[in-house]
Amino acid sequence: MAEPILEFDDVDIRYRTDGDDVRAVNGASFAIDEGDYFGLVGESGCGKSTIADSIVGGLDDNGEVVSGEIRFKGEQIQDYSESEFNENVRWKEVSVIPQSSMNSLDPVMKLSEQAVEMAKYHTDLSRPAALDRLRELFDVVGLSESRISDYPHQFSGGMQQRAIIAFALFLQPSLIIADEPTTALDVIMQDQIMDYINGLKDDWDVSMLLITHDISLVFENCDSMAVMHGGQIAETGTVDDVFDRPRHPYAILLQNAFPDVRFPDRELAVIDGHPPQLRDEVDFCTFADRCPWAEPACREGAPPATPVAGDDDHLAWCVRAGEMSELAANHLERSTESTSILEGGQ
Amino acid sequence: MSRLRYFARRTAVTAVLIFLVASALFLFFRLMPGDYTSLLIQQGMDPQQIEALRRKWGLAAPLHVQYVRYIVNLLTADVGQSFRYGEPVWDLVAPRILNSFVLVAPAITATYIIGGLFGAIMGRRRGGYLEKSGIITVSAFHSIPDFFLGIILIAVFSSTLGIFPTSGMLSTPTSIMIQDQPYWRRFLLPEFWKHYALPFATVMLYFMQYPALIMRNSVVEVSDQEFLHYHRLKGLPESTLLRKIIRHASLPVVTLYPISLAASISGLVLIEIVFNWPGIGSLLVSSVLARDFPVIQFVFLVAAVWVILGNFLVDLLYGVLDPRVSVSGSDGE
Amino acid sequence: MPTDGKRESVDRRRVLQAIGAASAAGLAGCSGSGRQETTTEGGGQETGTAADDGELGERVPTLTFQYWSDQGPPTVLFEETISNIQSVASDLGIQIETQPMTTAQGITAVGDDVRDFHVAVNSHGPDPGRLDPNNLLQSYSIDRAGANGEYNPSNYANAEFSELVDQQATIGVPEERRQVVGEAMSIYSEDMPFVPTIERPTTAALNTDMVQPIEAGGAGLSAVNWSALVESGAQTQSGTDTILANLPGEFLTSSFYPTVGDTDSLGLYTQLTHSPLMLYNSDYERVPVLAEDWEVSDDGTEVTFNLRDATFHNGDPVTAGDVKWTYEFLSEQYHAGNYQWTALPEELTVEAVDDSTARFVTPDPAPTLVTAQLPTFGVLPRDPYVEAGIEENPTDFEDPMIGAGPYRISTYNNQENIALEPHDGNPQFQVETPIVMQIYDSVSAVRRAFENGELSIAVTLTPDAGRQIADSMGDTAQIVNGAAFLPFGMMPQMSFAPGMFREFRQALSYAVDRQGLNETYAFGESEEVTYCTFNSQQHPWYDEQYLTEVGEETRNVEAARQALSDAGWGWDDQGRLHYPPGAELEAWPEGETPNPENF
Repeated sequence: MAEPILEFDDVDIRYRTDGDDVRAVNGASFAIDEGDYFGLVGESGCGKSTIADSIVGGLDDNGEVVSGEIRFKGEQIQDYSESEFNENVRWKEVSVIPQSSMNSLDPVMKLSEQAVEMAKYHTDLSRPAALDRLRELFDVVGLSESRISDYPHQFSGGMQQRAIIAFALFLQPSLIIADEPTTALDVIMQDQIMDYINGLKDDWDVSMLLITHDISLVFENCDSMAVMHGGQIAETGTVDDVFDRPRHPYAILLQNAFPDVRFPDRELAVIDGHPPQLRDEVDFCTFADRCPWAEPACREGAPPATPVAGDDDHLAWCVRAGEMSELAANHLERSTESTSILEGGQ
Repeated sequence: MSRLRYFARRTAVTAVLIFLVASALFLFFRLMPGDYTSLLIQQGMDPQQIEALRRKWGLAAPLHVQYVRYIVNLLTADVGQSFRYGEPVWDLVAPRILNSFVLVAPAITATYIIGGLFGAIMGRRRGGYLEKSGIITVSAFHSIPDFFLGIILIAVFSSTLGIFPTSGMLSTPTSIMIQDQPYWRRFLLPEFWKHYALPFATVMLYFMQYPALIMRNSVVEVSDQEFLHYHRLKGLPESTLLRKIIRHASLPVVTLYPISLAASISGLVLIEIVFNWPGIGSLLVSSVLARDFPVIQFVFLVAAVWVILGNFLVDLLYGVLDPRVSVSGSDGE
Repeated sequence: MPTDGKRESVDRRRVLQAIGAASAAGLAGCSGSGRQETTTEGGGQETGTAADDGELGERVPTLTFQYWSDQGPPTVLFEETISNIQSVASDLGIQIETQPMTTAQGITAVGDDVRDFHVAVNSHGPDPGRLDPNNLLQSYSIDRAGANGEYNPSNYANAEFSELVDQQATIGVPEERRQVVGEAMSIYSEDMPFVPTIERPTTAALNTDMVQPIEAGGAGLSAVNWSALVESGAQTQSGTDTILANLPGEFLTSSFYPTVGDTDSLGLYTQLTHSPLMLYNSDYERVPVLAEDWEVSDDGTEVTFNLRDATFHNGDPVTAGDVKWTYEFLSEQYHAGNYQWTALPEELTVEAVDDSTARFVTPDPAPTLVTAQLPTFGVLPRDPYVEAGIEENPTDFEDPMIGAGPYRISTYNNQENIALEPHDGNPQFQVETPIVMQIYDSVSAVRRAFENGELSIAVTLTPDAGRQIADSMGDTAQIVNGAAFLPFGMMPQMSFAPGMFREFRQALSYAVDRQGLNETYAFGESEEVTYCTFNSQQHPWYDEQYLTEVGEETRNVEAARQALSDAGWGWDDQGRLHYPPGAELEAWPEGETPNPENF
């Protein structure tokens, strides 16, 4: 098995405010192996984008990693300064496909200039070489090479997203963080973009952190994954393991809340309630209030990481993880009934 | 092609605007209460003399004839003669406009550059001490009447410290000495800069508020934009980010720049009088008091044309600063 | 005919004196039956109130005091005068509004007799030509009263006075003329068309570290009167420096021919650069300059000048030929309408008897020639001016700016500055130091520049600024106080009520606190004027024996009320002033001119 390229070890992240701090991420632990596509899935506001930002030092000014370790290629980066991030992490090692591609490209710079700028600050590439490289990448993402000197507003939304992917690949990073890369796009475009992202697996030696609220995207495109809820990691493991044997109630319910092409007739589940506001110390399971199987123990301490028996690296942060296969039998039924395409396809 | 069409259209609009302003000025001055000709009538003149004068100045003709004559004269660059001085308005106004321009253009430009940078820093240090004290300072300077600010500076730097002279552009003997030399020659004299310092500082302190506060707001707004976050994630150093922020945030400041330049012509009147700066301000005031309409009309026209042309140039500059406002607007390269 | 007119008017004057103040109303009342109805109608509106009271006429309306708002320091005095009256308005039972106007507007409004305002608080500008009384006497002539576009400062209409004014203009024998002018002034003073307040102070300051102190006569030193400086030789302390002086904004405005351009700036050129044959010195006395002396023939139609040796700035000698050309040309241009100010007699001929003798000849005596015009306009060298094209384009030629004054113009920048260098060809004045004069638009800017050593002479200051300079600079500053030759005052509009009533003008004169004005405006440096005249005590024609004392140095409200009630005016129970019952309220109908028969 490959070495982890990125590890989160019991990481807490807070945003300072004038009132109580917001505890956006609490005790998060997961690891991404080199070459893996890793999906991080959860509702909006659950802290997944905060995790993405913390990797590249992109937290807002008031955000801070208060405890735990973030290791990139074994190096602790949680306390890096801006210039250390610039030197050691940003873009050469880790690039980002941001959430809102439509607004992420500087409107007053030609795309070619933005590429040349990246080259200038991170490489020795000459200007023509940088432009050549951008042309290549435009080709890769399916854009016409002649368009490299256009301004962003001359591109459609899908084209901008492809240009952003090209930018993400520009310095051949070892990790790409794709934060909701397709949210703003229509369905057909979403599919195309995901195809490109998927296609990178074969031709590029790159790991991917795919952040999304759409669990099906993760199932379709990733090797391993984590499910997040209310600032806590609920469950992590390989996609197969989590899909087949989810052991955190949220992961179980979430699977049922999305339409699945494999089971088109299934009724969609609804998860009641909202994630809590995380103003006080998080010494409880943030899903307890919404969980049909909650018991007092859920509110008496942060849930421990519980290995799921029989799987490697499959953890669920639930005090009742061991009982879930019985408790949620109803919900898990269908997956025993029919074999998933995914599994069958492999 | 479309760039050319855009340019032609803007030029046409600009020309029409100038024409309208010129016409409005013509009417405005003739509809103003008080006899347009009253200046000509002096104590002790007999009616024949008055009539002769009215004819001489073309004031005997009906209004529409005067109007047509006025427009034709404008088109042939003949802006008339001063009632008061009897000499061509242009000869009277041009050197003064130059003197005012020498003061106001660099002062306002420097104000916008320095004020803009200061505002940008305030915006980047949101909530900090610098921002709070900066806002109070620039607002305080703007809330003092401009001429009084000048008097305070004179009291401190001339009367008390004796560093700078109180009045004029040069000492009178010097200005007479170099009067036959090219205009720029004075810029080589330390004396000029000593005379220049206080009025320059007055204009600057007084007008600092606009660029500083607008830039601050604009920077705060731009800093929250997604593309800046993206730039940051791409690993661009802070100085580069700041440059980009300033470029984006400067659009409203650039818009205001020519307006401030023009507005300062009127604001300058009192500053010029306080410092006895030989600019357009004092001529304008005395011409208004003396109802020297050809002069007033022309000065107003120059100010209006200045604003219109300034906006025209800003429109073009916008195209450079922000390609979304580009003249072509299509995606052809 | 003149004799008849004189007798008739003397009678009239006796009547006036006999009936006293009330007569004016009576005279106005019987002056025209045609407009009786109008006023009856006007009065009818208030008949109710008046009838109840039994004794009161129409109520005096809110009075509007107009003043010139663009005169610089004098405007301050105008405003202080009005508020001075305003402070006792309630004691007199009147209300006062103010109406600022530009000088041009004000002159037009008075000239058209528009009747929007009741009192004009203006001044007579001290143009050098007014050192002869003729100009102002003519201003007050009945020919100029009423709505005819001509400026008569208070629309004063007195046929007898006007006749004397006409007479004096052509009396060649000085003593005789003085007599007639005196009689005219006597009527004027009695009628009080001008309510004088205080002398018009002039304030200047010299930096004695830079310039040697000067001896100034009563005229002091001002932008229009530089005599004191040239008389003292214009010496600086080091002997080599340049004198730096200011000029007010309205100077250096003539685009052509500075010596005739504009009366405001004439004093500058007459006294410094373009010497006339003789001029008024700093005591307002005539002294010879280019002429050695002059002789007036007995009938007053010939004046013969003997010229001194003098040279123009270009080195040419001043000859009788130049004198001839200059004044014949100026006369011609005035009557052709090109020059507005060179009011020389129309049929003037000048004979160049020899190189150094010039004889001025007019068909009728022209007494003002030697008292007003010749001391005002300098002699010009014929050839350079003719070469410059003055004869073809009298108002548009390249002025060579050559005269024979003690100073030569070395630089002239319109509306900016002027530089003068000593010229040794002037027979009267020897000056040492170059002078540079710079336009300043604000008195406080002048004061700051002077205090900061940027000016060695500051002229046309306000008395207030002079005081401040004295306080801040102590002995380093010589403050030169003087008085212009025309005092300040008020001009009640005599074409309609209440200005048409002498008792009202008299009350106004009692109500103004002259001493207070002197204190607030001039820090006591000026003088109160209690005799009615448009000439100041400095004026060469000031002669108290012809004048009537019309007021006191301090305010006397009781006397003011007395003057009004003696003439039948009254106050209602709220203390508001009313005209006498049945009083006629127009001296002549609005829009018309007074008929000399009736005045």
